[in-house]
Amino acid sequence: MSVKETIKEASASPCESCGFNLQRLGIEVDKWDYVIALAGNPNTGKSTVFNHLTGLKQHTGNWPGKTVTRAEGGFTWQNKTFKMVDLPGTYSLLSASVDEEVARDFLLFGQPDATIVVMDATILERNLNLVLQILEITDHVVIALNLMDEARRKGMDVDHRALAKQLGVPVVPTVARQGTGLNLLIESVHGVIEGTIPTKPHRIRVSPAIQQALDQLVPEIERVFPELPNARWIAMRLLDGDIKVQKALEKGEWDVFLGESVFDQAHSAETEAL
Amino acid sequence: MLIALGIVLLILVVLYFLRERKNNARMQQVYLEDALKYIFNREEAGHRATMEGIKGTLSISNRQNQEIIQQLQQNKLITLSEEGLHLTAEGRELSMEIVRAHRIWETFLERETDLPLHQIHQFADQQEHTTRGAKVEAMAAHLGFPTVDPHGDPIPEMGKMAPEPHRQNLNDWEVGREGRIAHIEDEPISVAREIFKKGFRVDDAVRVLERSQGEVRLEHLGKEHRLSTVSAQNIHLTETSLESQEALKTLDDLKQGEEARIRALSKRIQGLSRRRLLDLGFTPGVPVQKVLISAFGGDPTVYRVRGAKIALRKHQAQQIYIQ
Amino acid sequence: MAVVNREISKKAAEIRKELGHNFRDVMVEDIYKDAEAIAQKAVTIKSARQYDFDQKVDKILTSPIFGIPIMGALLALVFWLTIVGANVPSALLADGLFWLEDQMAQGMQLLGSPWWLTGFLIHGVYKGLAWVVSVMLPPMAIFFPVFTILEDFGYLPRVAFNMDWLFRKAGAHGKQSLTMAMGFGCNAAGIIATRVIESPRERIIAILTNNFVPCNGRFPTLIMLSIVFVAAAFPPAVASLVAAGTVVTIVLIGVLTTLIVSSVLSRTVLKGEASSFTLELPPYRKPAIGRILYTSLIDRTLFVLWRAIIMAAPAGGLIWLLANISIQDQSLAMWIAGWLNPAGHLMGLDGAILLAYIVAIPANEIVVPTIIMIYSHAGTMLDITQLDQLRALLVDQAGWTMLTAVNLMLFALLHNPCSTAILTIWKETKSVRWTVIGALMPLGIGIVVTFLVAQIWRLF
Repeated sequence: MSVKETIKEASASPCESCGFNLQRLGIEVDKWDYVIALAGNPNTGKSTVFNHLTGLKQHTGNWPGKTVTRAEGGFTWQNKTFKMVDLPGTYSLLSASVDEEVARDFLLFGQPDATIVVMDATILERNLNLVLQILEITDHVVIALNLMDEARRKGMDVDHRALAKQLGVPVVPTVARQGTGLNLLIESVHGVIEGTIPTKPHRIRVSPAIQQALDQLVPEIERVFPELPNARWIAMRLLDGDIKVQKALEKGEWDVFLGESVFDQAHSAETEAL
Repeated sequence: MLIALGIVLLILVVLYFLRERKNNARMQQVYLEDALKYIFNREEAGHRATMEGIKGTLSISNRQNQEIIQQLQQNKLITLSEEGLHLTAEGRELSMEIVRAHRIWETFLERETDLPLHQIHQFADQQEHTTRGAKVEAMAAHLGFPTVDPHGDPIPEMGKMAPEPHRQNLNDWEVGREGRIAHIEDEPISVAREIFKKGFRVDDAVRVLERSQGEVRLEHLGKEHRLSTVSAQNIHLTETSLESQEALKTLDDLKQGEEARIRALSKRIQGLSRRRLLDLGFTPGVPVQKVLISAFGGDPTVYRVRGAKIALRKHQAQQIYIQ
Repeated sequence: MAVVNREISKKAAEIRKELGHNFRDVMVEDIYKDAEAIAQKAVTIKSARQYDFDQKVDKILTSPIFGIPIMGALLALVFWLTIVGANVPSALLADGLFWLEDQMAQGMQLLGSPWWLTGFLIHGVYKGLAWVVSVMLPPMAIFFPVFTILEDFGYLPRVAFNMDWLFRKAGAHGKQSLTMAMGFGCNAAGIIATRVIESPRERIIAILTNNFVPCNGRFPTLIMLSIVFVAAAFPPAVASLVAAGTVVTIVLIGVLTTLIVSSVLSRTVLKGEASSFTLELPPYRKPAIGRILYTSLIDRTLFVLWRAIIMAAPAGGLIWLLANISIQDQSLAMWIAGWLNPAGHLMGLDGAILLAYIVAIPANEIVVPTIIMIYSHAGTMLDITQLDQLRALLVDQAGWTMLTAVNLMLFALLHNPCSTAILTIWKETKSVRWTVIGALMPLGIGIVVTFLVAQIWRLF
């Protein structure tokens, strides 16, 4: 089944609550089958999705950095236990601020089984900045296209099928405040993890000069690390002089957080000088 | 009781002396490197480097000075002649490494932190003795391998120093002619601080309006400034490039409700600030609308970019050029 | 292995040098170009010209003229609702819990427990707990949901926007007002919230000044004093308004202190350049009121109860001990209060109040009950539920004047952070220096301010 058809079929499910026997576990998850990361811009309703799925009632405010440390929760669905990690809301993974470090490190080194990216349907373009970066890091992504009701009210028609086709991963329209679409979201996540929904994530179209640089670098990385799913992203980060990624590469260890990042370094220098 | 106290005191005294010795060893290295740097700077400027010069610059005693010179000679870093002190090839290489560490650190701190200039300079002075090799290179990579530091001094690379471009002192610059700031001298720090405080940065365009007794009046980013001749002595100018000659409009010039496309972000926004603006979608070509102006002179002001409302302070908006 | 890998990063560095300085700019530009293309294919705007609700509301709430007055009015409204709404439930809770105290004391006597055990457990530990619960729970159960509704609506970023010019002038970050808003709930939470400020310099400023926002442990003191002393002088019809106005005034003094201290810090020990300030104003959203009520009530109730148990109960025990261990026919509490009296007098307060603040370092909630206990010589914290009784005790017996009330309110605002907040400062800064400054600076300011007020007051 092609991606397109799968997504079409998944989205066509008419009933929201049937088969949705989700059991919320709050923070009581000690054993889990899958780890899901939850990423997204601030103010997209990310925490609402998290609270809805895990039953946790954590209150998060309307500004970035509120969830500075990761919040964790869990639920079971179809006899499988999912551990959910709520990452800080960020606009990007490139700025190297504290919250972006936390989110980036978890996606890159924590290797979740799947990542849900919550998008604000009313400002798609801005949200895509983060989505496109995450798609470079991991294949197992499901998009929760949230705030669909707000988009409608603003006179916008957001075609989630077109978006799914462009991005190459499932896109599930949701209204998290009412819990609409979350059943389908979990179903798609499960499908992506199990491989029943194949994904072919979009690759950022870069300008020729950068593409040329990547063509030189990516094969080298792939040669040394054949298992690495995101050699292209690593190459981009190397070109940008990402200290942390460079150290991880030189040590050949991807499952631990290595060394200090630019942010740490600037931060400790400034703190020391003060 | 008393005995226990005595033992504790003794241990503390011993620890103190051990630390002092370690500190002394480190201080010794700092002196050696500072002496090397002094000779390097003199040679670069085409002057003679003397033992008295070292003594004066480092403010040390005669005996210490002799020890340092001996040590440097033993390490084959310098040679002595009748004209003074000379760097060997090795000495030159090490000097450049130190200078590179210093200038990379300064660039890094200037872009990534909001420390004031004098602290940046002091901190870099400490760090240049302890940071070498991989860490400096990692920082350089992060910064995109800069070739000049915030003062406009070239950053040596692979043992090579870029030749200093032709530049002229602000006090000698023709009245009425526009120039680009190529260099701001970092010592004495009080003068440098005053220059930076007035907003002058390397690469800015300036025009000398009038020269009077002890003072120069000049135009800088649309504003008029006065600098004492002493301050002006620390600024060097070169010919402007074509681009900086144009008076560019910025987001700040928009009226409420007006929209314009972004032309570029000024070079002055660097580090986290620049990355943040880019990530929020303030990229060249994007339409931006000024939507809300706050009380007291519109600082901050809200702009609509890519569907989102983002508040920026005035000094940031003034660094975003529009078409 | 590592050698091969280093080759790769070396090569990356080489390529990068050829690419030029603006790699990041080009990269982000590319991503956004891509994003534009994708968004264009997915989004169709149906109604080109639609009513922009957000812009209309923002024009009012962030208006140069009305923005700040509206903010003040909303703050006053929140306090007024809290004061008016908490009155009845507080009295009911106090009645119920103190009735239970008598019952339990009798029960223990029947079981043959000695007087000191009954006294310590019931009149000490339990009573401390009961007081905190009845005094704190109702105001917080109202304050937090109302505040959260404003937050969910999207109002707080607008506050940060309206206030930024003040913080800019003080050399601080506009988002400091967000962390202050969190401080209303709990200063420790406010200190953690300073993580939204990325510059270490501006963040330390926000951490050191967070204590100038009165937290939920200090509100009861402020509310009580504003009702008993300030509002009592007005006719009952406007009394609650006056009380709310008084609390708002105290909060405004706190904000002013924050700005002054921030400004001094940023010009002396924490000098630096203004860092980046980008603040998104998200669309206004209808708050999920049902959920907010539920979570605030449940979360807050549990939180307050928990805190009461771990903090107020031991403090209650300690107070009982101080009041019941006597040396030469005078309780320990009276002795200490006596020693502290000269210092207290200079600050327009008295020894009992200072002792209460020392006992209350772990939990500020306990200040008022301790003061009452010391005055009443009762050996336990008195359960004074009627305000006129309280007034009679404080004015007639303890000799309080308006100066005492005003200075106590000021001191409630300006003194050392509670132990939890101090610990949080250390955890967040990892610096002994900043922790010591964060603990002692507010205390120093409090002593100086109350001293000056007392001296000036006594001149007239």
